[in-house]
Amino acid sequence: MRYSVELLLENEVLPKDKNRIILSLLKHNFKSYDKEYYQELYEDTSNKVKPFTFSLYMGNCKFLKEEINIPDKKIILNYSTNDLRNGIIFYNSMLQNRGKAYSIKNNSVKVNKINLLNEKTIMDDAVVFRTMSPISVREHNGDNKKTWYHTLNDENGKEIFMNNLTFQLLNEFGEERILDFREIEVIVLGNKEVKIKNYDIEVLGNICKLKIKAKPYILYYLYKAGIGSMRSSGFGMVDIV
Amino acid sequence: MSENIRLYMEDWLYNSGIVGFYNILKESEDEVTIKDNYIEFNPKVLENFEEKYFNYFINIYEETLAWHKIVSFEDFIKYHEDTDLKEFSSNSLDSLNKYITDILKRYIKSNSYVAAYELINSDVDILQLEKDITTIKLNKTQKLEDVLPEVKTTLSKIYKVIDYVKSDEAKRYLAAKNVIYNIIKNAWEGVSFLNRQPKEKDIYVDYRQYFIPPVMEYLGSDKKKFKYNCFTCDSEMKDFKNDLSFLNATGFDVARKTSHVWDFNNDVAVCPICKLIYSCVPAGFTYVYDNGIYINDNSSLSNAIEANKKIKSEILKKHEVTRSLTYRALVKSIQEQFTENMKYELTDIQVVRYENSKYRFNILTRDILDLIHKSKNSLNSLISAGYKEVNTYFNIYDLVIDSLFNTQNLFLIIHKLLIYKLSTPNDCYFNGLQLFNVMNINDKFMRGLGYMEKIDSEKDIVKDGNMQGYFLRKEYKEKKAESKLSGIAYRLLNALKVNSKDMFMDTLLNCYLYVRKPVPQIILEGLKDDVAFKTIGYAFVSGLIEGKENTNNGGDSNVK
Ligand SMILES: [Zn+2]
Repeated sequence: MRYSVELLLENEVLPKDKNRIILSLLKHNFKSYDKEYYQELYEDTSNKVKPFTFSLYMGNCKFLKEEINIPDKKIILNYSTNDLRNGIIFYNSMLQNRGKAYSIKNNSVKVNKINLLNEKTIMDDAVVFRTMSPISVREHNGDNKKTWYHTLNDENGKEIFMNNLTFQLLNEFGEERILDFREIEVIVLGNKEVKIKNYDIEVLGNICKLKIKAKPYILYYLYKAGIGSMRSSGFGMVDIV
Repeated sequence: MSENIRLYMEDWLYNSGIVGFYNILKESEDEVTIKDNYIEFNPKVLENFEEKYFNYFINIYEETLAWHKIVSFEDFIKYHEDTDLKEFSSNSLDSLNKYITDILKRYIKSNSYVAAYELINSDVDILQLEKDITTIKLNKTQKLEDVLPEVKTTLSKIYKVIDYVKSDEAKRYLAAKNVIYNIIKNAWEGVSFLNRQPKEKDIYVDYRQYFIPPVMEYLGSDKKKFKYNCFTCDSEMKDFKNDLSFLNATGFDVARKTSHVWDFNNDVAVCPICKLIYSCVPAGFTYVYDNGIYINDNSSLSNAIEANKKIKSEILKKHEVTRSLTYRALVKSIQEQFTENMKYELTDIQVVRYENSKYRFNILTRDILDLIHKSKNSLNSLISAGYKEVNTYFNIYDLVIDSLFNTQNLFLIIHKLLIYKLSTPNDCYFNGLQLFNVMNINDKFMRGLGYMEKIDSEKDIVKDGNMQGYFLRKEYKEKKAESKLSGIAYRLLNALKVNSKDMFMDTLLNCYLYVRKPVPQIILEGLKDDVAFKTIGYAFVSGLIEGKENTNNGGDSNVK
């Protein structure tokens, strides 16, 4: 399920750590609509994989040193999930909080319009995806302290990306489909590295087009759930070109 | 005189014979004892058994027989004679003519009747009487009054025929002939009076001679010398003379089978007593036309007798116009059994049906029986519910029962009913409540099979789903967008049919976005379980289309 939600700002200034703000809005809304669901998602198990991804569109904005200036005072939140229950709870929770001001640093945000988007159909076993939010290729090394963010511009980064992808799919579909995952081919069609402020640190992201060859059910899943790491924090949302 | 005979319950076929044998003796008020799993009687009950045998069938099936159709016209004649033909209309004339051609001439001249006349001790030349009776046609210049004298003489001629047919002597043979071909022939053939070339013309004599003397001889003989055992009751017997080939469709009718079956069945022979009991199989079954039914309740002989008695009286209810062998009678007898006797142990019941010259078996598990008991009110509400499909009327009650007895869920029926409600509402003779009841029964059925364990059993998901559908309909009404609902309902039904939660939710979400209302909790509940999804989904659609304009809203039963 895919939505676009129009968020209205009280004034033009948004902190640069925008994903954090959106995430906190999502959490707030989930919690106010269905506390149990919120707990299931964020509290019951640590590092639970959330079944959604999002991206933001801010129109004619200017990136300043510490903040973003949005003259339209409008953000489009694009949201996609591969889980029906999540999709409905998202809608219900957004609807419930519609028109209510949610305070953020020096500003406030309101849910305005909620649209359900038509999902595209996938006919082939190969699709070109375009990133709507940057793909994160993250590498954790044993102790949690060492975390690297890789670029899809080099072979090492690509290898880690493939490992992460397999892991993501295993987590979703289980071991019995492993042969399908091994067949997957990914070609990076042009990539631009970007730096994104995320919870006070700068992380590397990849804005790119990916040609992925895989079984249609896998392509569908990636289309809906997003690709790569930190999807539920606003990374890896894709569209079909 | 001689010792009592005990016969124990065996397989369904033999049991139906015992039940039939019991029925026959009971009808003639003979003494017979039933114990848990056997029947006990003195051989003296076999005196005149042939009379008892035919009497039973004639009494039980009397109203269905051609014999009855002939004589029941007497009322018509009496009425018009008493009123001196003052009430005799052109409709009456039609009825008279119809009777003459379709009943009187047809049956009186039938081969089986003609063969019986010589046995009937009477001076009446019945075939001559029949020849003298002709239909009465008005020619162009005639009015009804002009033929009334002719009507009068015809009526009196017919009266003579009826008088003859009604006599004890004639009834004894003619009704027995009907019984042979309508009832008995369903169970056995080829021997005694159903032999293709009977040597004995008197069917009573023929039955006695074929079945009774061997029993008497057998009872008087010293069984210690016998080397063989009866296939059914295992008692000693002299030879392999009595096989079971006279029983239809049982696999024993060797004459029609291939040779290897012949070899196999060579060992199948029974003692004369068992053979007699097998001849009573048609008295254990209940027949409507060529179809029969027998409840093989193995729990005890009295239960078997009782269950089949109930179904027989239910099916052969006096003066009932349409008789059919649906499961309806069975359900009623099950439900009665419950209320009458709570001690009645609920066990699996085998139902044997004779259809298209074959025996078919259904097991009614105690779960299904329990469901039928618990859903009594819901089920009864469906008796008048139905729909028409290509000029054929289907009764929803019968469809539901048939599915349940075959352990099939009702989703297919529910789907169909909703589609019809949408596409051809004028062919639907059921209302929302009846549809709701079908869904409720299905919900209980599925839960009984162990589905939907994750769903709180206290939760009435059918009701909740239905309500939410109804509420959404109201929202659309407020937006004056009711016309969109049919298309939406079709899409939802399609999604349910192919089991696509995605498609269903997508359609539904669009609806709720349109009315700017949250998706109700019950829909989320449906995502936890596939069966719950279908249950809630169909309930929702039914609520959504409820109240769709329909010229014959409700349980109109006059269309059958
Ligand atoms: Zn025997």
